[in-house]
Amino acid sequence: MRVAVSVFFIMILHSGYGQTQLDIGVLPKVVLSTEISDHLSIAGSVQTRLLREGVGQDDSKFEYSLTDLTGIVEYRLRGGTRLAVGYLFRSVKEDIVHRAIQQVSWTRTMSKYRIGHRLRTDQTFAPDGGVSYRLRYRLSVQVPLDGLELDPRELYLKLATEKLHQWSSGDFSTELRVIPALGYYGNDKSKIELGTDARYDSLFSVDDTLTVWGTISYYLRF
Amino acid sequence: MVPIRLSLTVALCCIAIGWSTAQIKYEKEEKTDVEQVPAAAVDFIHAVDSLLVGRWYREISNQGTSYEWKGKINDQCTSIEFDQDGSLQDVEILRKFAKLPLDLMEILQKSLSTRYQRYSVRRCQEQWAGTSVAIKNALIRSSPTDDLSVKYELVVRARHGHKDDTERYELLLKLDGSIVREAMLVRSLSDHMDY
Repeated sequence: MRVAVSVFFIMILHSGYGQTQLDIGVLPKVVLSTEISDHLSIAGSVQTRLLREGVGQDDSKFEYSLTDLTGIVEYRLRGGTRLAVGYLFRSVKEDIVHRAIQQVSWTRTMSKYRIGHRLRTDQTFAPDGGVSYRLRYRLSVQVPLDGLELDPRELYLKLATEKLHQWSSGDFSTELRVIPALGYYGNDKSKIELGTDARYDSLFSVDDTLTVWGTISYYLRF
Repeated sequence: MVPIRLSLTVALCCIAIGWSTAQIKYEKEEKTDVEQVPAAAVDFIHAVDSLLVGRWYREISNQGTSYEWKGKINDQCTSIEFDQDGSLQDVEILRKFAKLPLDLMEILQKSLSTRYQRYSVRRCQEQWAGTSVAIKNALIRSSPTDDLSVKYELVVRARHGHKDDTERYELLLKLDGSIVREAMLVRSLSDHMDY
């Protein structure tokens, strides 16, 4: 956790020295999921983005950016590892973007900490016919704020960090995300999280962007 | 603006559905102040060592309310459970399974191998039960006395058969390896870790 926080502050400091653009935005998300059988489940999510680009510039203002609709089919192996494939439909103003998703994820419990791993690949099909490929890994840690186990009607802290590698039209770029959130575990069917999602793209280039999203996510299992 | 309105409407509807289906029955463990703990329980801790530092928890479940003290005694992570009136229930001391006495570890491993096709021990606690005087003396000398009942509470990731799922189980075993209790722990959902 300390490492992730340090990385976040290094990102902030670095952004002050380079030609970094700061964008801020709001990222509300709803995730619905249900179990079809003991091993098979499906999930769907809706996410929108309100973005204010170039904070500090005169013409900077909040604008609707896009809406994502995602469908995921997940198969849980006997050992607990989860394999999933999905499809994302993105509406960006006048354009439509399609994305295929493949992921493997697993969680482990260590003392009071719950540690989640997610390895995902995706292929994004842009309206102009271009395809970009991404490989991403996310590590998340969940810790209850009251007691040693997360019980219903309790708060928890979730800290995640994710690294993304993208290859598009011959260009390679890397993005780092730090995603702390405060969650409320209503019961075994519903959770709500409030947090931030700091995305630092073009990690090793001069013209980079730090985007800080305010996030609100609701998870409902039915 | 239409997609935003639509999304917000969906979000609000879902939140409303989620809250309305919240279960009434629940089980929870929460930190509590020492002032809220029965005096008999606090007195017992002081009797073991007046300088002990630990945290008090209150556990509310369908079986009622209990209190648990967690801290270190003689440098060992120890939890001491009391009932609602402050009467001592049992003591659990965290152990490393790999560092148990070899003969005992072999007995427990044989029992687990018989029960499960595959397993790995995730947590091991030595459980002492007996009179409060006997437990107090054992805590002070840091080893169980003959008048205590000693068992082992294990949390394992295991599967019974080749075609079964791997689950987390909590087991209580006697020193001869016989299993007193086995409970499958509820599988936590990971949707907020995955998506």
